[in-house]
Amino acid sequence: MLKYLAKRIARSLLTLFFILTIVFILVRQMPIEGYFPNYEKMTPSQIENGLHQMGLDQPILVQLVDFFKGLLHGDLGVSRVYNRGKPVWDILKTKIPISIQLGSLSILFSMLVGLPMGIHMAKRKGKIPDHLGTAFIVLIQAVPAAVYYLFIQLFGTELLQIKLRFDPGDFRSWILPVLSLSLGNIAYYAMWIRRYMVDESTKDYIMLARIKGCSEGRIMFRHIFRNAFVPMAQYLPTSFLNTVIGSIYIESLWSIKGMGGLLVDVIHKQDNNMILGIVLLFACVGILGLILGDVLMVLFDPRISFTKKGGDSV
Amino acid sequence: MSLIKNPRIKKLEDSVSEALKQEIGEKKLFSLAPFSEEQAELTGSSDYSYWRSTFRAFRRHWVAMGLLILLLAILVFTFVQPYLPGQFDPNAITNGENGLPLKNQPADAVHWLGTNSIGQDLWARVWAGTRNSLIIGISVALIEAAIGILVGILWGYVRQLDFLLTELYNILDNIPTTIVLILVSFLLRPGMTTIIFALSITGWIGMARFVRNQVLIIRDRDYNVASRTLGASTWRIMTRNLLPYLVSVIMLRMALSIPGAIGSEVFITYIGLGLPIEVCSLGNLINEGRKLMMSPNLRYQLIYPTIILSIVTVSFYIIGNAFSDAADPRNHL
Amino acid sequence: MSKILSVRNLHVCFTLRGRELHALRGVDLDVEDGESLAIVGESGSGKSVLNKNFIGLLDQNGRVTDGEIRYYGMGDKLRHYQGAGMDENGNYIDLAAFKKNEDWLRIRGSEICMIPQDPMTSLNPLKSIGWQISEALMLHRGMKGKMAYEETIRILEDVRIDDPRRRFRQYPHELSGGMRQRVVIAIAIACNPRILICDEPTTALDVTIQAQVLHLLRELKEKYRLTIIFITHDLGVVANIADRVAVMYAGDIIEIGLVEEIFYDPRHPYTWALLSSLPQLGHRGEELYAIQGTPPNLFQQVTGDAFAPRNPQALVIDSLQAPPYFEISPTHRAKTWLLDERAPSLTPPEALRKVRDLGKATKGGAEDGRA
Repeated sequence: MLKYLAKRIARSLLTLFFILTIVFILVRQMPIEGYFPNYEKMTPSQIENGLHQMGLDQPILVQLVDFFKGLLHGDLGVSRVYNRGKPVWDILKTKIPISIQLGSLSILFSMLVGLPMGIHMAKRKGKIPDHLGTAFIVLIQAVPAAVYYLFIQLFGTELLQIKLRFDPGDFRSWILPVLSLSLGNIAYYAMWIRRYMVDESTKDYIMLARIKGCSEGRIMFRHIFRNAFVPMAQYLPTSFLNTVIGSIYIESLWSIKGMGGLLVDVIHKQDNNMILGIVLLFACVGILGLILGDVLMVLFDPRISFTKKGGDSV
Repeated sequence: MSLIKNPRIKKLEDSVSEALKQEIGEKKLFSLAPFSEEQAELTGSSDYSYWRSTFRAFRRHWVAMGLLILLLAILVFTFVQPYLPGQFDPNAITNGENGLPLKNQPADAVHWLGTNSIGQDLWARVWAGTRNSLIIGISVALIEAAIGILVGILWGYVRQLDFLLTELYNILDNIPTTIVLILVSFLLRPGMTTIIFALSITGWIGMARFVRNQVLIIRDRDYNVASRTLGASTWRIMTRNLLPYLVSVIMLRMALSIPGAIGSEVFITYIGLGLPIEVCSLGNLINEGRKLMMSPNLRYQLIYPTIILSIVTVSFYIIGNAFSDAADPRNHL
Repeated sequence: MSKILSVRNLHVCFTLRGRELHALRGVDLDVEDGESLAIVGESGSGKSVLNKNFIGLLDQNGRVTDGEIRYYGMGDKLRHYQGAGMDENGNYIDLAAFKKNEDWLRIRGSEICMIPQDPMTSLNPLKSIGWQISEALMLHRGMKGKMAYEETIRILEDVRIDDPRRRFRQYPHELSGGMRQRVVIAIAIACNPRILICDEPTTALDVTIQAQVLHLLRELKEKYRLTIIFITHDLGVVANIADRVAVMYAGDIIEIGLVEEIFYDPRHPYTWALLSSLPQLGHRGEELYAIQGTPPNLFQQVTGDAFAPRNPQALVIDSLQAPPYFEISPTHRAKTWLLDERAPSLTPPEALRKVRDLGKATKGGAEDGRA
């Protein structure tokens, strides 16, 4: 088991390395004008000096190496534009707690609502609850999140008498953002657990459980759900990522002072180090989700720790 | 006649049998009957045709059928609309009698959906927007499919590449596509090609993986090994064993990627990295409408584009899923 | 010996792609308490469908359209029986009358239990084998905790699984095919049924394991006083373990009798053909015998004898009217016009004489092997 985990972590670090490299290179392609607020007024030598100060005149490979060297020392660099001179990590530190709160609440809520919903749909397959649930899932998955976020904001604030401006102290202003962020994952969980439960229910060992004389209720929970839950673990990372991406939009929409809203801002301002810092954090969240998912799979499925993972299909 | 083809005439056949028995007489009845080999083989047969059963299963899904017709109607209309009489140019500003632009007019006989905040006809803008968004969505789907299938086939067929590409895939798969989307949109000037490019470069990966898995199946599944053993050429295996399944699921992926692409376009426009204002798109329209969201009488500028967007995305989604369900042989009951 | 199960004129239909498949066409069968009955037939003959009716696991698109399945095995428990299907006199329960799944809960496991065909997929991969056996004990014998554990160990010993205390905690994927089959058998034993249905119990196993499993089943039958119904297409298994044999073709039982009667004195042309195709009868260098043609398409109405089109020695009347049962002995009957007094007497194929000779030769040794 430990060897397996070690392999996963190693692979994740490699992934992280690639992500950062790609983003780094992309970000460095940005036009130089963006680095200077008063570009037109600057002389070529001033521009050159400025670039040199920021370390941007070096060949890209050197810049890359420097970046990673700094990373290993825990140094994410200094913000150039957003908050001149302030270390990136200090800025991020203040924004992270809110995003984590928002994200965790959302994931928790999604599981608490999505899983029971999916189970109920599987139980009543083909009947009204199933159709209603399917309609819900279709709407959430087909209509772009950007759109229904807007409508939730629109009608939610009117209906519930909530202010548009987010106030972290007032729990009521948390309701709509968390709800909006969760909808995507709720639909996701419900859809997949239903699908897995329906798939399991046709398997041979379920037939044996019936032959044994198990009641349908017992079969549904102790056999079907318990077994269908195992592959659900692989959707954990996806839902982490969904939440991260969704938060970018939600935080902007509701003016929540978290990481997501920050990202949009610093991209516009072309603050390279900030962008890299935020991407690093987001990538870590995603990878954390992946590792968590793998660990859960191993815990829940006795077959996996013994057999080598991998093979034909990816 | 030992077997009846049509149960409805069983009674008739029975009475004929009885009559025959009287006719034939006991002695003959109990004598040996002539034996025909063809009769022996005649009995077991099935007229199962994959595509016919698929279409029949799809036809039964009346919601999907209805949406398919609706979607086709919308598709046709988006391209026909500019040529109809009485249509405005989406970017043209209409001036009222006093010479000033007709801003924020509610729907009336001239402007069927009203005008927006600078006096442009909303009906024309909605259809122009739908047109552009659909072009984006379909282009992305096609490009993703083209690249994805190509890479997928190589990946699955050329054994030496398999390990490399699999590891590459594992890494690429984890890159948050939205972030790449944001960065790429920022780097290149906003425009139709930019968006199509940005969306395609991350989307083909899923298609490639899928196609590669299918190619592996060509080689490894028993029924294909059996076909090869019987002497079927690779081409035949691909067209008879693989293609039916492949086509239907590729179409599913494409059908689902269209709403995804349209949705990403709305998202990126909100962030400010989308299409320029002159190019009408559903993303632009929704964004403009969003600014006026809070005033009830101007809300219509958000609602109309949203409605058509939802119809289009939901239709693609449902049709895609219904078709893939219908194409699954287990549902050909 | 009394009857424990009685099937009367059972008709079962399936709805497939908009058409009706008439899978069972009026099956009549009596099962005696304590016997070993083998049901043989090709794929598609209806043998699995017939047995699924005994535990109510017919596929979703199938239903009983006529007939009864009378279960007499409940004995004294009938007095307290509250469910559906009971007859007025309280002598039996008609299983074909069950409408809801709950009706079956009283029968499944505790009265009638089945051992499915494929042991590789029949066990829950995520639960230990000990747990799966104990579940049966909990459901039917109210055992929990330590009591269930000890009983499970005892049953594991009964089915000859070595080191049962270690095996208890193991998962199905850690066991070989033969052992998994034993676990499935253990689960069935744990339920303590009256009737045990074995659906092709040896088909998925190696030949060497087959003999062991059959031997085990014979032992358990004696020890727990079970009635066993075997479904198989393997005549070797039949000869090994059955008391009586029912031959099915195209959804009907066309011949039934004691195992000696079927092997040494078959009367239905299909049974002749079946026995003739035993590979053991082949001559080196000659073609093996095979029945020409394929079984009939049961989507269509069958008139007369279903086997007639494939029977080179069919009579004219075979294609006009279905034959009734003709009794050859009190224990042996067959549905063929050849047994009618007006029919010509035909000699059974040469191959069958060889079967008789082979049987007599090994009978001395075989008799000890058979229960």
